[in-house]
Amino acid sequence: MYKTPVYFDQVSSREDFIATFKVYDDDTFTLIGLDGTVVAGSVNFTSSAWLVNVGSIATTSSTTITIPVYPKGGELSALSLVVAPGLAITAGQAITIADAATASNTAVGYVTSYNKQNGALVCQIGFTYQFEIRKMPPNWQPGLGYISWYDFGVAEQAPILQASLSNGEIKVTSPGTLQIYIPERTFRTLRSGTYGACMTMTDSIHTTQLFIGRLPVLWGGVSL
Amino acid sequence: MDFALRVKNVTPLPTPVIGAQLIVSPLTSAVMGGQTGGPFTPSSFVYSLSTQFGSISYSVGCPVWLTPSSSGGSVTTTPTAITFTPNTSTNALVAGVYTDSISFTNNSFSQTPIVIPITLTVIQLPAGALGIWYADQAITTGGNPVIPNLLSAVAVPKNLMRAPRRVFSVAVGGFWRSISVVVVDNNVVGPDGLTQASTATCTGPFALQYEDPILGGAGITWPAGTYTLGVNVKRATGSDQTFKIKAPDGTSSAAKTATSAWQRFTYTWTAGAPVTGSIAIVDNAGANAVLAVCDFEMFQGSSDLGPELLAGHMYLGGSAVSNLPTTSGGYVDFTANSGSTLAFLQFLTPQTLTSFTISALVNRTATGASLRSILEELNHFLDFVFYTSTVAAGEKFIFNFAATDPLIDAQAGLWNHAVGIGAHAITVRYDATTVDLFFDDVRCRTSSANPALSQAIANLFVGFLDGGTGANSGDKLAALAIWPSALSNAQLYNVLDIWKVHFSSLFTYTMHPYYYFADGDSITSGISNGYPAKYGPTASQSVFGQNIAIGGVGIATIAATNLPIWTASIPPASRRTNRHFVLSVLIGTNDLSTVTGPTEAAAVASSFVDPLQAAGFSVIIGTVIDRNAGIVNPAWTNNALSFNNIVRTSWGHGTAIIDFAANVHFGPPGSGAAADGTYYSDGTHLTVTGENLMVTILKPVADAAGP
Repeated sequence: MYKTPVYFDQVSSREDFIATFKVYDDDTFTLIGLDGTVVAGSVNFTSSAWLVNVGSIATTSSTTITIPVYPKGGELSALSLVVAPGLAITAGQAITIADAATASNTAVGYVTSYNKQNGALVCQIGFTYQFEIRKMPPNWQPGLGYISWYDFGVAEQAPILQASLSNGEIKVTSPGTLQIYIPERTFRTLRSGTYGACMTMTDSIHTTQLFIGRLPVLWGGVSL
Repeated sequence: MDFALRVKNVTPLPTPVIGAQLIVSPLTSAVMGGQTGGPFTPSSFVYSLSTQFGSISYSVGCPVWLTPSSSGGSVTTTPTAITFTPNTSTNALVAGVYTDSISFTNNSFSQTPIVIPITLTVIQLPAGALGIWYADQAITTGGNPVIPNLLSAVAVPKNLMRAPRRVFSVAVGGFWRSISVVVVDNNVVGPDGLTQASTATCTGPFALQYEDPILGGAGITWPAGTYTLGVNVKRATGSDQTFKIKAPDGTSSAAKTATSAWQRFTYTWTAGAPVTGSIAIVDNAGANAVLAVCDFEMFQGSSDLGPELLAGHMYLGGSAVSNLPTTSGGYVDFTANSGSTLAFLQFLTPQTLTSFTISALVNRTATGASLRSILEELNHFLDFVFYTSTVAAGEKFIFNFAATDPLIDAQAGLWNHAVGIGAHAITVRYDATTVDLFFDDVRCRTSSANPALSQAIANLFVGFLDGGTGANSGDKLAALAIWPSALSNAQLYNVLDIWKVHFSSLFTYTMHPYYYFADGDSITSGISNGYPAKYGPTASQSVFGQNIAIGGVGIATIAATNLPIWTASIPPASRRTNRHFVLSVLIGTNDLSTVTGPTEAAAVASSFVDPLQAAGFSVIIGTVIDRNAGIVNPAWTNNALSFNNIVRTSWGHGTAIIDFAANVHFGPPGSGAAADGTYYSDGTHLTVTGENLMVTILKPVADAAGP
């Protein structure tokens, strides 16, 4: 809801940064499915017999795939499997993978690549996320004079910290719930000040800004 | 929870779509074949449809000559069998090979239709056959197996008594004993118009009694059950006659009255436990009788299924409790019971043929030097009355039939015994002039006509595969067919093709890919020794063949004698795809004393090698060797050197050169090679050591010319 910036509580630069939040659809007020998976049991589900539907194409795969239970990271963000070759599958098509035995363990996402010669298919199950912390532009006030950030042609400041499924600092902890966890050893990089803290998510086709936030960081006052 | 977000315009992840595939099993192609008009083998084939999850709809496509049990519907995870059966359109197909496909389409989800190739081979059997019997179609229920004659429209009633049912005076098959009865066979016209009924003149208490010689004469033990006896009887004198029918349990029918017209009389009896005894037509309270009798039969159950028509069905053994021979896996198995017999009711009546073709598909299940050769089985087609394994003067053959009878593998010219393993067709063809023997599609023997060759068909069959003498053959009979005429080669090949298709689901019958033969003079001759015989077992590929070199003659005689044998033996080009017929030739030694090298080379090419190449052989030609001739006859030396040089360098005939003379122990001619005598026994002919060395020179050339 970036039209109303998220103001994080102030946090010390000498502690873990933990932010846990739920994501609702603004129209339906229901939790948004973030990971794209369903596991029928309470433990990770592994199988080598899968039904694979891409669009209206039904095929199978004997690739060994594990669908994890919560918390879920980036295990399936770039899932590789082998299906029948020669199918009319193109990148960007929706894909459903269901276990052949019960079809009750499922994963949905989008195809990112398919090799028609050998049937090698790569897809992204669920969303991936990008959380970044950057310096804010200088507060300009009348009388401050020239501030270089606003000069034409100056590049945007690079992110100081990044969190994602791939580096393990973002996880889907329950349906519709995300947790950002940046350990102190990384978070201490920040100095005292208010930072921009922004986050997006993408299913490889559609990308959504989750929030544009302000993160006040205090001096921690200890040497660790 | 730190906070909650309400996100606008988010695109939810795709809704799961769980669609299942149509699964077809097996995915192997279907092969079906048969004669024009059917039947086709297999009579149907089945594919199983299922899906991994839920239910999907499907549709089936197939050629018009097949009818699917379902053309569409829905299928779940439980397999649904779809049976494809030939229909009237199939029966109408003319001879040919029809390639098509059947398809299975998933109508619920997009899936590439599953297409299964299908091949239907329709072959027209040569017309006029007396019978064709396929062991895989044996009727094995309800008594001894019967293999129906496919060419007979008559059903196969299973007479439980050993054949014959129309011969009572002699022991043929079953055994009829007459007591106070004078029997004359084949002197009364039977109810079917054939003069095959017998007259039984009874001057006292009598019985026409059925026994079984194999099972112990009258001591046949019939299993518990209900049986029905039936017999055609009429009086053979001026007044009505009476008699009874006796069952093995000692009971007999009420008195029967034979009148001037043929009547069918029956008697049904039941044994609560196995019963031992004979079956007979007996007198009525001691009354004499003069009867005409035929078609005496017994069937299981309470119905008389006779009289059994003359359909030429193949009866294995004869009685209901006989265990000889057996049928299994599509064969009549002679391997366990060497005394097995086949009975052909139709042909027990003597029929004289002035020409015929008999072909059998035999599966050789064992091999070894001590086993009867499969070629001996071929010989045994004729091994009675008029013919023995002795080779007559002037006979032409390419396998060794000259050995003692029985002919065992080690003598048969099958240089690699294992070649005999598997299915082979063996055929005898007689056209009133010659007898040809075929091993598969290779003609392997031709004999001059024997004036007494006209044969009773019954004898032909009795003589075949009986295993009664000599070593065990290890053979199983899959198919047998007989024509009362000499089939052409093309017709015979057609028969082999029919069998190949018919038995394709049971076993593979293919023509052997590699044959190696040899020809030449005395340096080459020798069936079980000599360098060709030594090459056979060591060839890189399984090989069979023969050596028909003639000692002491030159190219003119060899060409005149052997060229016709070779050219008549090799099958046509259309049947040689992926098959190799290699012929090694070492000739010239006996000509080169007087004939120049160029002249001899030209003669070898034009009179022998070129015609052989044209016939389909890969001819490999050897350079001449002869230490003695080279020493004692300088002219021979010069001519031989010239001949060898021409063959090596500029000849251009044949497939390859076997340069025996390039070896220091054999050449060059005139060099006095191997003067130590190690390689020549007499200066001309080879010692065993020499033959072994020759093989090392021959083998790479012959192997390269083979598969």
